[in-house]
Amino acid sequence: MSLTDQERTKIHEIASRLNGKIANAFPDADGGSDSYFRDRIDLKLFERPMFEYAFETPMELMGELEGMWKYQDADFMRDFMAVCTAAAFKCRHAPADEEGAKGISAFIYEF
Amino acid sequence: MNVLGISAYYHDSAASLIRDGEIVAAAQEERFTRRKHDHGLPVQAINFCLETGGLKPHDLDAVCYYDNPFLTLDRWLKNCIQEGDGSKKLIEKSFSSLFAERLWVHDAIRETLGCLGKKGKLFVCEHHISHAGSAFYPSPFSSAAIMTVDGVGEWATTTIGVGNKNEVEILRQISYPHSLGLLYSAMTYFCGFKVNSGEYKLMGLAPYGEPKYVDLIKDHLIEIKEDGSYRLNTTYFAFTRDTAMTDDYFGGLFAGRRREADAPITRREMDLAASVQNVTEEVIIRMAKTAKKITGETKLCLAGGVALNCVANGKLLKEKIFDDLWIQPAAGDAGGSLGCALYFYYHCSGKQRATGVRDMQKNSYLGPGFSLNEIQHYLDSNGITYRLFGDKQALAAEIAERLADNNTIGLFSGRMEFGPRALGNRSIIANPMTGGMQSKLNVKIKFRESFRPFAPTVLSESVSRYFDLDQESPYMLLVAEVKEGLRRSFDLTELFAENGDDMLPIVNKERSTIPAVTHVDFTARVQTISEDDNPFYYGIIKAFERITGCSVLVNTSFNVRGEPIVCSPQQAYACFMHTDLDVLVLENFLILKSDQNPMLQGMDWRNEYEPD
Ligand SMILES: [Fe+2]
Repeated sequence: MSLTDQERTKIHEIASRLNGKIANAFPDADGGSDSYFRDRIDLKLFERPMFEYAFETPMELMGELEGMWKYQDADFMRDFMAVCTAAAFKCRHAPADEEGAKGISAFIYEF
Repeated sequence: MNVLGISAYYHDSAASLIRDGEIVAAAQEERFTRRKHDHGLPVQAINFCLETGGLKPHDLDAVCYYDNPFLTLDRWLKNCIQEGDGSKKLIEKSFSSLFAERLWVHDAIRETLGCLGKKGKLFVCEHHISHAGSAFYPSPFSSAAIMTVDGVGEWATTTIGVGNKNEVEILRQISYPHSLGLLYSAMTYFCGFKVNSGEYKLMGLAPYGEPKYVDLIKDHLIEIKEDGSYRLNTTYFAFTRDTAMTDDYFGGLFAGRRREADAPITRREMDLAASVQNVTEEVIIRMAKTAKKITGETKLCLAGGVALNCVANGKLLKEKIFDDLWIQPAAGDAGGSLGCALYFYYHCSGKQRATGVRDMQKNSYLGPGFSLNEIQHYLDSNGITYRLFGDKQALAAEIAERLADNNTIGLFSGRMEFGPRALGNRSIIANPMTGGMQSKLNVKIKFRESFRPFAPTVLSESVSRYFDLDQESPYMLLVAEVKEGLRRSFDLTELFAENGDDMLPIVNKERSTIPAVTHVDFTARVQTISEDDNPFYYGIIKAFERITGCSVLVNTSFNVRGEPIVCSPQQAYACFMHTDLDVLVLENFLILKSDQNPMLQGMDWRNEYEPD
């Protein structure tokens, strides 16, 4: 039983629910045009090449996530806001679990 | 202005210190902790940078991190949505590292340093901006096109951008899950090598094979457009949903299951390696043409893990799409620490970036160095027998004599290299003309697969005598062919017919007058060296040239299989004693194996580190 079992389950639930609603959650690589390159301006990733990373409270983290998803017009992502904030603050000062602490298998790409 | 850059929590954690635009220090954490590709917070590398700069944490004008955790979280959550009910493994795989480590990177760095510099805030920089910054800012170019290609950083996997004076901007992007780096890593994994370190092996294996799977790869795994942009067919890859890179579906394409790490390498792996290498080169070359078209620039800068594919780099150079090419030697994530710090500096200092003939990377000799006193104290207190040379020229001559006698030598001198390549300061050097040297070094010293090629260091002024290359390659990031006149008859197909899949007789068959550094396709991963770059190393090769007429040495990193490159004299001595190295040079001290206490030898070093 881990401290964050609830959050893991919740993320899985939300992801499963949204999966039925969102046709493609990844930036579109289709298009049928001559190129799969996307212009950075069209990607709407929340264009901040460098910024102060400084949240300390749950409200501040929620504000950051809300800002990012609002910029992306990704309203559906708001469903994750509370659970991600809870997960982050439960994990604050907690060491990464066994897997994280030791580093994952050398045969896997960690991203 | 002092700026500390940090990369951590992915692969190859590192720290870099910039002072008024100058790179003062940079090092990978693995060199201190001795854990290869250490992914933790680079505490020791940070301390090394501060010490080198004579700084306390509160003296720092800014602390920067090379990745935006919010965007990474965004990508991870959307990946979970994409997989829906099948996202359980993905959640288990990355939940902890995301919520306990990456999102709290500012906490962790503040705890480590006691503060976040004068501003009290952490600055985070986008991952591919960090790569792009590491490629452009240290380059000698005032403006250039920039390409970054890696596995993935936040969303981006491939970008085309432009650098101009103080500015770096990304113009085009390909996003996760479409990733050339992940395609290469998936094939690395499928061929039984570790992801993030085995890619070099796959690249080294490629010349043994035939690119017979290229059509299959292009028909099923990756669709490539004329402009070099591409899309992966994610059905064949497991990394979006699992803890593996590929599954049975992928294997179905290539007649069987993934090779187990300890199973023999067969023709299939050689052909797969040749095929994925071929596809990678095609994408890179097409993309470079697009970069030129979009930016109108005549120079190109490269970074991101795929930029370490020196075979592709060599082909790119040969295409002459750009007049000049500069590749960040720490092109992987370690170099991101440098890129984010430089990006901050050039955006916040108000100082204009100066460019000149030479780059700002200082030959990548940016890591720790050790004084004669420190080394002598270590040697004396451990009763190690040595000869001290007051004159480095005399030492260079002595080393050259021993190289000519086919001694293998561990060379430890000056500051450690930043990036994965040893460039003469933490190197094992040997005579390239000796038949069997490649397998001797591989099997008895490095304890690694016999097929892996070694790289040459050649005097800059002699490069075109040995290789089809007419420019400098100080960072060993370009592959070039050995001159036709130096080659010996060598028919790979015939040799395979004689020897089956056994690569050892093939490796031992001499292919040129410098067989130890000539790969089976007559190529070599060239490092050029000039007197300005590294006077001592240059002097050794020059002295070797006087004795033998040969201006080339074998240069391989000073470590054994699975071990990070040695950082300190202690590590160098331990590696020397547990391998078949004949001589160790620690700055001005010459240490002979024959003079050492045999009691210190004999430990099976192979068990010390996991195979890489
Ligand atoms: Fe990267």
